[in-house]
Amino acid sequence: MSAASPPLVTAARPLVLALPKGRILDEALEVFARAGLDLSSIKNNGRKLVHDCGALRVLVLRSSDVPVYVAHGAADLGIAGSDVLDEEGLDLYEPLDLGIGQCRMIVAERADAPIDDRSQIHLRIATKYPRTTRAYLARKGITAEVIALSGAIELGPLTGLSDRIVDITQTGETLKQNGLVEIDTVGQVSSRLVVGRAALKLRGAEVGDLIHRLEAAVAAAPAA
Amino acid sequence: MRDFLPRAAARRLSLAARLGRVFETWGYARIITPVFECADVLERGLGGDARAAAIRFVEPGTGEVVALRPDITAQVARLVATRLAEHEGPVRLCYEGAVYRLSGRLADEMGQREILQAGVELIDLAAPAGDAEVLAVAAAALASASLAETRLDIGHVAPLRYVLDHVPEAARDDLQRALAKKDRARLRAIAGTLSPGLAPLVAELGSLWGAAVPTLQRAAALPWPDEVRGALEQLRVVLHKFGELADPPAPEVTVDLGDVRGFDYYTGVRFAGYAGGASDAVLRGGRYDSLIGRYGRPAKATGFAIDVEGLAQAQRAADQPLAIARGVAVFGQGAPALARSLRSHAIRAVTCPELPTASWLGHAGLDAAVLVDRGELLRPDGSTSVVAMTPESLATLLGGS
Repeated sequence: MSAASPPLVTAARPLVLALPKGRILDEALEVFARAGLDLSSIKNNGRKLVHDCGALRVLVLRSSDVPVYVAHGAADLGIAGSDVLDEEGLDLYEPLDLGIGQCRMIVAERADAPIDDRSQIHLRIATKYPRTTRAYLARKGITAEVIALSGAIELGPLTGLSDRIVDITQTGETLKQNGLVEIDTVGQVSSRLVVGRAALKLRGAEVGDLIHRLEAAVAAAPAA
Repeated sequence: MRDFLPRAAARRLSLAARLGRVFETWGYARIITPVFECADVLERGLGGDARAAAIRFVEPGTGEVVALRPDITAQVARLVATRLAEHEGPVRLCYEGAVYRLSGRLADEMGQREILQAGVELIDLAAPAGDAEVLAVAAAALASASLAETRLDIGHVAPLRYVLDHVPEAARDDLQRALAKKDRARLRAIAGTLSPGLAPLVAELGSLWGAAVPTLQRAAALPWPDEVRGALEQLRVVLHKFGELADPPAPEVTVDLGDVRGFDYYTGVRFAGYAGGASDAVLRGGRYDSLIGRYGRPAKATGFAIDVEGLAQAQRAADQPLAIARGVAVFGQGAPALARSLRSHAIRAVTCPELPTASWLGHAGLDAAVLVDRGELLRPDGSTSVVAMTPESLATLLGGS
């Protein structure tokens, strides 16, 4: 039956790497530079979405889309925040913590109107991370209504939309400016290298090499 | 659940047929099992993942809880332990059919999925001979899809089982999650809390993947107990025997000793197949020596199942042409007789009561219309050519499938 099969074509295609746009991108490019991979041309290419950089083809995407591209095999690997990865809950390999994009996921409420547990209200929590928030609430044994928003989460308690918020914060400055105070930490967030299930097996040698180089680059990172 | 239109259906069916032919040429006999059966009976033979994914319902006629099969292996196990209990082994069986699962990454996105599977089960042949044989069949099955980029990834449950059995209960979930992600930093952190005997094993288990020989060498350098050493040696023997059995050129083989998926189900060598263009494994299998015993006849067994849809996706991604026989519409005086003889030349032939149009040919998936009275061939692009109206010359002109 293989006699009727067309000949095999082995085209060495570049590894496809998905990077998140925004503040993580610069930090990610630094890590790659330290690993000996110069991706700086991405920065000079304006609105282009696909960049060919030698052995890597780079896609610059919205951060929450990075794990989706990798899970579906449209990208072989990518860089995504652990906040996004936990929220998306896709089955991916996360071999490396790149130590960049560090922040914390926290619970906050209005500084001038703290929720007293004795008030016995049914909590409403606004967040960009409904799944993570539900998991956190389940861990704590709290029942609450989770309100999913896509931005400006701090407005929730100020407008009466919600009692508390779950969001990420680096310095706490935005919270303070909006009269919010942190009351609990959900977890630490940092950016991870993610690899697709098939990519790790089909492109194992290249992916393994890249992991080792990035791991060395992370270890050599200047202290933040 | 989804519909498959003719071209999509043709790809899946021709793949399933090719896989079935491969299984049969290796001596595996086809069986057909029911799409649903009594949930209690079916679930006895399912691993944890399949059990959670099973779609159950109350059969209104009997009031009995039944389950759509999420897996055919459990049914084969039941058959072997009951109807085939007196058969002398080894028994070689293969199957092809749909399995049904709940799937979705979030509970609120849960939907039902129908997955077309084709697979084999080899019963009463112990390791390493049985493992090497099914691996060779798996290699032949992958090769039959004519894909450029395929891999067989092989492991053994022993290292993972040893580590999970020996870490404190409290660390087990965390360890399993970290292994599923191959999260090196997390694994090293967990290792730091463990006894000196266990720590290096846990720290390295997430990195024990890659090209077969160096990966097994790295694994062998770790302080495993004798039972795991034995398993690693068995894996090496299986790979060697596989090399002898497999049709050349066998797909490249890699090793992964830290794969946690379905490890509660397998008891020995386990493996998965990957193909470029499919985002996850298209083939999964391994040894399950404790399964058939659940139905009352302990037996050693190994096998695998192929996700035909995954393989079809890989073929499409690789621009693999569809293998469909040539087809024509025949119109005019003597059309029935000409159509009949074209069919005997393995050409699909439709007789048309009205003059076929070029656009219809395209929609119907036909290569041409034979306009007998004009002595012309009309193509889907609207072009015509004058041809001799004999089945032989038409067959030559249209070419094979």
